[in-house]
Amino acid sequence: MRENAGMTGDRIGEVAHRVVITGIGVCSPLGGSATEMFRNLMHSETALRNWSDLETEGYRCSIAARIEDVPGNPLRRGGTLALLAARQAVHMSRANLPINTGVYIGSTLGESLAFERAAEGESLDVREYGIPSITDAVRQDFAFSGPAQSLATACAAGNYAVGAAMEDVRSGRVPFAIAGGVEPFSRLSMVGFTRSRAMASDTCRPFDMRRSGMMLGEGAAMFVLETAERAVARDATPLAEVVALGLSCDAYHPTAPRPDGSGMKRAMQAAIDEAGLSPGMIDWVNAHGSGTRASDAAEACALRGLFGNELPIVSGSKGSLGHALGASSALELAVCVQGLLEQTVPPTVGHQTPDTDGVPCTREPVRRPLRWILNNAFAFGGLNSSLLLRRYDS
Amino acid sequence: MRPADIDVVLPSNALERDAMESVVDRLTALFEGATGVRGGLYLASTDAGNATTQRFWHDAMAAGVALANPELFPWCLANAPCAALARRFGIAGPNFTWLGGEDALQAAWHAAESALARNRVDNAFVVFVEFGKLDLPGRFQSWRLQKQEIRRGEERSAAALLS
Amino acid sequence: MKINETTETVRITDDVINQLRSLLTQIQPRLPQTWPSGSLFQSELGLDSLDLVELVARVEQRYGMLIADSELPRFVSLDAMADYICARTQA
Repeated sequence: MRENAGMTGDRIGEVAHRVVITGIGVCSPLGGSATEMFRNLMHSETALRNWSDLETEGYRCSIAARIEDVPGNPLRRGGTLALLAARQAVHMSRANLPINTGVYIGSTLGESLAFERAAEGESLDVREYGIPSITDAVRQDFAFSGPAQSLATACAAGNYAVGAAMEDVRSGRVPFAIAGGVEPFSRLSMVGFTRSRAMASDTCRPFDMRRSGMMLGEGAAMFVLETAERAVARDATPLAEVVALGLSCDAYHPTAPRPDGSGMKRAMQAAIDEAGLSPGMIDWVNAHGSGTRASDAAEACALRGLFGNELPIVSGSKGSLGHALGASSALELAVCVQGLLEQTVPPTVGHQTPDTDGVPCTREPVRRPLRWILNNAFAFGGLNSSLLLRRYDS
Repeated sequence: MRPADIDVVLPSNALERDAMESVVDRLTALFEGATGVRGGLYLASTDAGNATTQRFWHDAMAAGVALANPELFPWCLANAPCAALARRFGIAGPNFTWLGGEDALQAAWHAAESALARNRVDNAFVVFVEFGKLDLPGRFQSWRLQKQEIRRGEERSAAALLS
Repeated sequence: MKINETTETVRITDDVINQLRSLLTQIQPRLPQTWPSGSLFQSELGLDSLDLVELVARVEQRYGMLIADSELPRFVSLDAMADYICARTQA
């Protein structure tokens, strides 16, 4: 295993550049901050409900998790959510961010409503409403001129964005980064997922034997990343350490996952290997758990394949938050960080009974020592990501 | 940046799926011997997904939201072209898509070089795609990165940081 | 049922099968010109779940009917789909 030895050597060379999160900002249908969202999760609350406007408009499914009263231009709903979350994260970090701060934002569709309006004949240049428009809005708000990345990796985009930020902070390319995921509520996605028969008719039940599909959400979660040394030197509070991002691609089907979960397993394994860990050291997996028959079955295979019968605690948040597409892994990263801080795994709303060979998830809060966490996120196109976090220990 | 290994004109006014179909047969040599889990794809695009997203919604409005055809929906996503390359050539390692202009292409190069330098992949492919619209043709460029190039890449990155 | 009614039913079913065959060929141009209407979509024609939901979407548009998710597992062949469509349209 010379390759692994080499990777471990690389990692040791980077120990001096541990990357930590020092600020979290959240706009979600379950709360306007990480603590509020987590508190509601702990009470097994769900933001999924029926929406009369969608029902009137004739959607096959009119249940979703949406944020009410988002201020500003509806065509810039994604930009607004991202900005609110970014400002909140920066405020929490108490950092005086320099102009060369990097901005890394992931999303699936960007400002979906603008694309819809353009298709309906409104005179709009859709290039001004893609994901880069959201990244630019954040950069302009803070007057940053550092690196910018707009990750268009669909439902894994939040993990990708935070992973890209981690790399740049670790290498010293940027002193600070704002990173996360955003997705405004999208009627286009409602049509796409209902007509692809991927959506449940009533509610989202991650890993439950009665699950019948996903439900749509929206939101944004942003994080301030910096090195641990910098954070300690300026007397900031590291909330969690971002250690590695494992990636793979199923290269199998446009929408369906590889049924044996081997691609998902490789992503988790890659994150674990890069940190020089063994699977048994993982305390908690925040699963992708979309609630579809195929995705949850494949993820269960991946978890069983990687951990055998020694499964860590597994939970999922989409029964509470819905699937916020490009924002989902960022919102769930906020759940992970809050869980690390409180040393508690929240319940998995919608989960009662797993498949016979499936994965049991938390059904109530589980309080126990938590050190290493994987945050899984998978996407159309067979993209698999797993972000490894560690409780911050000075 | 060195000249692309593949530099192909894409048809104007074509959906992303059709534009990609028009180019993939010309990529066989580029990907030869580089398949599997140790290959990574790093794609930057100015506009992936834009054309299909508008077509999909236009068709959905015509059919009604309850009866829309889902066929094009996966291609509304900007990562569909890169995922299609992965499927076609069996590239099962990291699969990235960035949207943007020069910054997106720089991010793709940087990530590809970093993945090679950190031994995450043996082969890295950087792709730039601008899909054609109206009467303007699009462009597909691709580079296959070798490990021996990485030292040069690192020097370039260091120079950029110092400048 | 009288003989001419039976003949009419068969003719309508055959028409539906031909229409379904055409819809399916649009989705999967690699399919042969013709195939037995009892051939199983997944195991014999190699169609996947995405092909099936797209076919059902086209059927919904073509015949102006909404088909519930719970009905999809029964659509295993052209015959099975045609039977369902004929029953719905006659009802």
